[in-house]
Amino acid sequence: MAAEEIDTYLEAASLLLGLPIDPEHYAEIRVAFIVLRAQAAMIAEFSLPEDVEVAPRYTP
Amino acid sequence: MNFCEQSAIALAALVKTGAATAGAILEAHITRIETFDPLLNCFTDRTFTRARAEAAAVDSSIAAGKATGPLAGVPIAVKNLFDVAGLPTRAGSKILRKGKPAEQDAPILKQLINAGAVLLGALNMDEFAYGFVTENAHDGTTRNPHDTARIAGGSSGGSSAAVAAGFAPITLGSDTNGSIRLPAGLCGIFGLKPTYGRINRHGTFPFVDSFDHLGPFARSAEDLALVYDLLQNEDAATPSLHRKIDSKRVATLAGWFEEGAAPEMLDAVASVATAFGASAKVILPEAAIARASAYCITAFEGGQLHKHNLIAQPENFDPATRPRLIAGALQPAETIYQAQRFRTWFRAEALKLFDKFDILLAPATPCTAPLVGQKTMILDGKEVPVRPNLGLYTQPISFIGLPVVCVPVVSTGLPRGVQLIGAPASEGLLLAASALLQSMGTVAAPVAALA
Repeated sequence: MAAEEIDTYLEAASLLLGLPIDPEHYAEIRVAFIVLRAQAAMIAEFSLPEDVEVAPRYTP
Repeated sequence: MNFCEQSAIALAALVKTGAATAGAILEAHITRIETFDPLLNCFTDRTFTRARAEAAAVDSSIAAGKATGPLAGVPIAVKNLFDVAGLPTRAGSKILRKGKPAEQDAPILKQLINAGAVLLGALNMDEFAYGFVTENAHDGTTRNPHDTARIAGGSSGGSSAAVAAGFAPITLGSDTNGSIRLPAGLCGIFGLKPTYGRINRHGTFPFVDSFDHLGPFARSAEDLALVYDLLQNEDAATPSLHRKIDSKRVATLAGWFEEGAAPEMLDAVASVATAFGASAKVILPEAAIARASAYCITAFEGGQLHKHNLIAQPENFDPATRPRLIAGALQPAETIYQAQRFRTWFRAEALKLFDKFDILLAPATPCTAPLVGQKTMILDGKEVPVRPNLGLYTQPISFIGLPVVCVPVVSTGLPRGVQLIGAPASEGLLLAASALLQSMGTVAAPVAALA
């Protein structure tokens, strides 16, 4: 994700989720988000078999 | 006799035999806390009035010849995310400390009190348990009793430092990504993170529902086993402490769990393996992705849990916590979905290892305790931030809920902890293995010398 795309995403997600970002806090949140995206990329790059389901289960 | 250096089992025996009163034991611990806690900053709440009443009740029972529990007169304390009757459950935060006081103790605290324990108070932690350092912006830093220039680790830093300092032989903490194992390792004491779901979490402030565990800290394997026995109802750990450990079924985790570790941490793992006579090494596949998944899920669930306050009063969060929670809450659903799918795969891979092995060994931390305020450290020759990297070796394990005893390996220099990792519900075996290491002199948790 390019630098400007991160800003665009954070602006859109903040609006969509109703979680405003104080401009004073923006830079540190952006850094934390970039760290998370690096972790997320590792998850995305791993090829899981299609039949693997999510871990948490609903038990009626 | 210095009561503050005794185990819980030894203190209860003194009380039960009339060799010491619960009141005298309590006052010795209060004196030590009042002398040294201004240096360490373990306690955020002191409940000494309550403790004196509880100790007096134990002494009255003994005098009347009534039965007392296995923790008769034993001073304990809990991380401040446990409900304690009469105290707001602050969970390390500014936001919650003005809240309504808890009406009753958390059930597992109540179980220890019913066993005769005496509550000294509540202990410092990272805000909302989101951290590995216990450098809390609201309540200050908890320092390591073995070197007060260094951190105690976190998030249960107050709980681990209090035991290492001789303030209490037993404390309780919580572990979502390493918050029992990591500070236990840095402070040179025993810590147990039981199997996920094994201990009732009611009456404690949550963080990440599917990763949260509660557990005890202690200075001996026997004390750890006794408290575990009191807190769970599924099997009996204490009677099995003298179980034989098959050296062929112990293996050291290689790959991720060795990469980046400081030489002294690898030496600590090697000394435990040698004590068991174990030479096998195994790989837990894709541990790096497990850690990445735990990292993303934690930030997401934590962010969602606190979203209302992140909107209403972001200024009241610890600056170290706030950006990770907000960034976490803003992650795309795809990341969390795939991380939870990966978790299923990783759990299956981990369980395969237990076909051949009963105990897996790994360092608790990549290095010994960093300095207070230290921002970066060297891992594998690279400079990396301290805060997110201290949990490299604990996060993949709590991600799939495996039980772990963190043992303090005897060495010169700063404390170093090793994780004994077992299959689900194998706490009894891990506690027996810890007791064996203790009997061999490989692990020990002496009270820190404070002056």
